Amino acid sequence: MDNIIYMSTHEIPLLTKIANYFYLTGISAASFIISSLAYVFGMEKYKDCGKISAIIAFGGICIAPIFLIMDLMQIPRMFYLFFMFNFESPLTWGTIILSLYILNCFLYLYYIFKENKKNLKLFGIIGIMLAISLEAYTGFVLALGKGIALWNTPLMPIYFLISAMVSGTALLIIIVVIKEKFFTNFEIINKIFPQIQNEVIYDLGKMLAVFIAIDLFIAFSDVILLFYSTPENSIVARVLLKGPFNIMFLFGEILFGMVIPFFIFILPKFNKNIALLTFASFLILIGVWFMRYVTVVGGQYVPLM
Amino acid sequence: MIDNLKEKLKEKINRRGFLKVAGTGLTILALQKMLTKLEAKDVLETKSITGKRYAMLIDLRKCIGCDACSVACNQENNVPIGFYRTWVKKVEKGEYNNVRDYYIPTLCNHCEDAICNRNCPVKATYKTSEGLTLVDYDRCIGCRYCMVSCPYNVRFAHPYRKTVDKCTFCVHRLKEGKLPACVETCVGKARIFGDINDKKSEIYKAIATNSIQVLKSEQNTKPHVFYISLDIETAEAGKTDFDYMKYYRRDIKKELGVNGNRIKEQYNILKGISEADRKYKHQKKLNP
Repeated sequence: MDNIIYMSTHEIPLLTKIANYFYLTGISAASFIISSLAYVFGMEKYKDCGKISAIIAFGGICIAPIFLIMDLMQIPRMFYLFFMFNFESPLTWGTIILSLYILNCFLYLYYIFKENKKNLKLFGIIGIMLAISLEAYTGFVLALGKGIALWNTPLMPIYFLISAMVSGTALLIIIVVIKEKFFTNFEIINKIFPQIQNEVIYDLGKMLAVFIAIDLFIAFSDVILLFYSTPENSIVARVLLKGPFNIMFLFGEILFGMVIPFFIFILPKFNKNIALLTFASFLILIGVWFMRYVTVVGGQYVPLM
Repeated sequence: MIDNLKEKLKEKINRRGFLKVAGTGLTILALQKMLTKLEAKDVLETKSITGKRYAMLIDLRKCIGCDACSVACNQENNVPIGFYRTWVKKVEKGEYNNVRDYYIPTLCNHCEDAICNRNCPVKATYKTSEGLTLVDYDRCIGCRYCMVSCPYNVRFAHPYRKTVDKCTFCVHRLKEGKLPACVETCVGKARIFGDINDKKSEIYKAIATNSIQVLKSEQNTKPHVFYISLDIETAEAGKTDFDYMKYYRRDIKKELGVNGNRIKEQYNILKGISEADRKYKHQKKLNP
């Protein structure tokens, strides 16, 4: 057995702030896409919760960049991102996509309350494309970090996109339930946000079950590929399944974040019980955060040299 | 006619309007100045094409693992305590009676197709015409994306300058016609430095007549630090050992919190000494 006397000191540069950023952009992008179901694709059923999710989309994307900026070592130099472009770098793509997306979100929300259908549809269509590219770019940021085996896979953008859809839908369910439960007596709120039927929540639950199924499938393919390819990848697989991240990955992300909620959402016994659905959505929100954390920090855990 | 226009203009440009115009004009000027200042470095670098391609060859048969290169580098470049631009990975192989230590001195590979250069969002990392990969400290925003992109883990976050830092092949010494500090100090003369485009150079001859290896060729970055008799097991060691990984996880903030002030003081003293030294040398040059 080799006995290591000295090796490079190793620090993990990107930590919780970046994981939070990815989490919040995911929620925002997914909320936008759900909101566009009503206002672009004309599903009248989702019109009222579409309004709420548009607000979540705008709120999420306003908070998300704060984490990103606070993570810079030179915070005053953040403006360089808007003057010095390097079109090879995914971070530059992100700068452009993020600024356009914030602008678009604002206009979209404005026209929802103005009830201008023509402009709403226009900014909805642009917004869907921006939301998808926003989530895909965060995946590309990790996928193009070449040295790190867990990140460097073409699955990463899709994985990020689908887990974003999962978390966005779950947050919408929670907020709709809270609104229906505690804020029915306020006239102002009832005027702006009409009452949402329970059927809409059940439908959102069914949609969520489909997203979780795809997410589980992608997570499974990711781990299987890690086991069967290069030595670096198999080490990463061991970090996920046996190393320090195994509880977060197996229990936080997979079991409590996906499998248990999945069964709650598909079994007829449970999927009409609002309290249980809210609890499952809450588990999903935590599970997706663990997914972001395990991907960002767990990937950097393996020493490279 | 013209007088009329002038009067109209005067009416239009009242005090507030003037302030607005002047304000926007000034900001645009300031931005332009900043941009030209930032662009200047690129232009200079691309213009000075000398046809050189600097590279390093490390003959591991001659390396005795004395760490003189790390020490010289830290002295020359004033690297904060606890951080290294170059370090020597040491692995002991075998058991009693059949033991040997293996060393791999590691530094920035100055890759031809550097992923850090590609991934930097503000072009703070740039390639010079001589093939060096450098960091512009005035431009780096400290997003640390290059640190996670680098497959060789040679970059570190400079705790006091608040930017990313790494080996520069001692570019300030190269400009004076000297060798990098680690090469000059190497006891066994294991490190050979030079221009691989120059067919008369020592490094060209050494590369042509020896079997050479590079680290992580599968990453397709075309590294320009070459090794003779590189041991694959040594290069791969330490990745699979979870206990070892735990031992070497660093919590920089915690580390600096305990010794932070002491280290910072030492850093400032060293910086002062090196600056005084530089001034002294400069004066000596002027009045020998």
